[in-house]
Amino acid sequence: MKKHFYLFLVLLLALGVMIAPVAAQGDEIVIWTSYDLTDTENPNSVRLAEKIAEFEEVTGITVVHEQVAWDQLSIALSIAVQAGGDVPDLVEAGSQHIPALLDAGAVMPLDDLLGDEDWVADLGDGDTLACVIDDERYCVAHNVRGGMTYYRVDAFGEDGFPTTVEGWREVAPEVSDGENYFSTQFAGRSYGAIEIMWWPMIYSNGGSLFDEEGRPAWATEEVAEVVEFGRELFNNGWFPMLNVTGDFADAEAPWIDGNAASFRGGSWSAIFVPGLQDQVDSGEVAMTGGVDFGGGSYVFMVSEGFVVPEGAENPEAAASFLSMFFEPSFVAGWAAGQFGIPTLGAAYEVSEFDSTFYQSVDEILGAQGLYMQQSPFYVESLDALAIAFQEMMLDPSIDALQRLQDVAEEVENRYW
Amino acid sequence: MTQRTVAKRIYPYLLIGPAVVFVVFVSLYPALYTFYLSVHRTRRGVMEYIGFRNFEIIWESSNFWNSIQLTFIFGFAFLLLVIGLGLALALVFNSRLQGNTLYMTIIFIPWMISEVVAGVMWRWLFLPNLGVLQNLLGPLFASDGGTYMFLSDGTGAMGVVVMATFWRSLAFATLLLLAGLQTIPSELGEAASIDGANRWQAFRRVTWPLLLPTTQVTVVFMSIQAVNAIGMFLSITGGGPGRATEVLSLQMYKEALQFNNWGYAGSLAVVMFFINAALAVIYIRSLQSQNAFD
Repeated sequence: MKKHFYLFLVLLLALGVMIAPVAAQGDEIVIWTSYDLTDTENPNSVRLAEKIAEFEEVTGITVVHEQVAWDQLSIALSIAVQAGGDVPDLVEAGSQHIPALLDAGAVMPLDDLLGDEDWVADLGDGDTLACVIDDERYCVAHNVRGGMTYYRVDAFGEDGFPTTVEGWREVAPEVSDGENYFSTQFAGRSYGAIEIMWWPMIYSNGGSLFDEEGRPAWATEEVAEVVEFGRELFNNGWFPMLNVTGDFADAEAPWIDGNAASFRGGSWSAIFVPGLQDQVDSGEVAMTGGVDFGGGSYVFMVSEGFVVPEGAENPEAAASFLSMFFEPSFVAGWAAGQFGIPTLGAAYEVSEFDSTFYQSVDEILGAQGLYMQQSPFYVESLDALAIAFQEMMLDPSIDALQRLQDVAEEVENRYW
Repeated sequence: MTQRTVAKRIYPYLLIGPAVVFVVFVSLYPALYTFYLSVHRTRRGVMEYIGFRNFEIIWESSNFWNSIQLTFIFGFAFLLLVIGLGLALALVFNSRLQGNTLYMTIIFIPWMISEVVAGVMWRWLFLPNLGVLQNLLGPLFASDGGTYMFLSDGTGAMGVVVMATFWRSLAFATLLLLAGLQTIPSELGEAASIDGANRWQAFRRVTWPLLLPTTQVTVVFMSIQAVNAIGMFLSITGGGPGRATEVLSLQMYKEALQFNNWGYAGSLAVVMFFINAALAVIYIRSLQSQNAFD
């Protein structure tokens, strides 16, 4: 009798253990972002932590937040979905990642989930261009950011900062003297260097990164010409070679130390460069866009937001979180925290976007903003290309067109 | 057969069973799965059988041969330093100087630091503008009166990794060689001295031949370490600048974790397996010849 009783207890326990996770799932959502919620120095980390706490209190749903490195978010999500593993309910994503996620079948359409929400109708082009593909919405973008050139007004006289290749060739030698540089910009071995440094020049020169399928299309004369121009910039000492071999912080250092007359970063640079926004607002520093290679001046542009993965356990709760997130004053603060322009119309009406800094960002992105070309293997392909660009900058004897062809074949062999 | 006899026969297997299961899951299964991966192509979690195509790509890949070359350059430079200075230190410690224990402890400190932490430390020492060693040594190595940026130049970057790995491994090599020296009877050295041999002659004619088997074992052991070195490369240079420090182990790591090219990374792992297997055979034979000599 005793034996049967204990056996019954064990069975009951086992049943409870099996049921409990299933019961808990309905009361829980998993969110992946690049933010460290324990980082009290980052305003948006603090904002996100507060928003999560508010959501939990209002809805009773537990939020499990997992920090994932920005450049790994889309890859990790694609693998999780395709491998049939556990997928989160909401993931931070950039516009450049959406095509790869779509190709991997990793994101679900949001029209049914969000169709009735008023705030969705208030989202502007910065959201629509990034998130609505073939009349179907796959993400919601909260802000738009992009590449910018900041220059010291008194370093460039009446003509201001040159915006053409010929102008750069004329002015750069006058401003550079071995210890001081015409400009500084990250051009290292990461896909971010392609996005910010090389892509706008490539596009302006009539070149491409990917074809319609997303396969490498960069082995062309147009891209090789950009490589040669890059070599002029670094080998003549107009840009520090450290831009090629260092990281983002190394690229900012010459500007912060006062050794660079201009700095090519992004609207987000105000996060990392102390006092930059104030310098712009005071007129000490002005902003401009990209260099015209003949086809116009362009800057890299990205919309950032959220996607709901295919296979998410609790997409309705994810939609509720998004509705709370897209409250105008919150989105305004969030966009300001990233030094971007909010995509939500009501958020843009908030007064902090009246400043010279934000007006300049809005104007430059509106006139020159350029989204990235798409590939299912976007991050991986551009990482490989960035390494090739780094090699070519460091070794001027490398045949640019041949090297571009070699890395294109490397990517083709890897993924196609 | 009695129950007791059966139990006696099974008992040893029961004792080693857990260890065998552990080894199978931790070593054998991953190794077999790597071979399986190497004949597939993986795209975002989806696998496709492609036979030996990955190995064909390896054979034709300039990046692969560049990695092989860099692995040998690194290995050769590292071995030269670690065996040379390790032997010198072992001889010093074997002479039983006062304070030997203290000096040994100091030399062992780098070995106790985690490889990645040591790598980050060395990277900071050579940070542009801020690194202590960069600021001290940069002007000395510059050809044009400026400053030589070690981590911005292929040779300099490889040199930093060699030095960092040598700094961390010196103690272990010294210990191995010291253990070998301490098996050599001191009377042999004394006898040579009585016969009129000076220190160099005694070392060359008496100590070195007796130490040779231990040295062989140490060289092979350190070679295996050099071939598989990745922590220092990852934390100091990341394979850069360009691909100037992208040794084979790092290339395998990047193909898997940066480029999600698991099948190709598996094939690189298979190549590394055979290189390590060859070194392991040499290591075991060196051990056997050392034991036979003893």
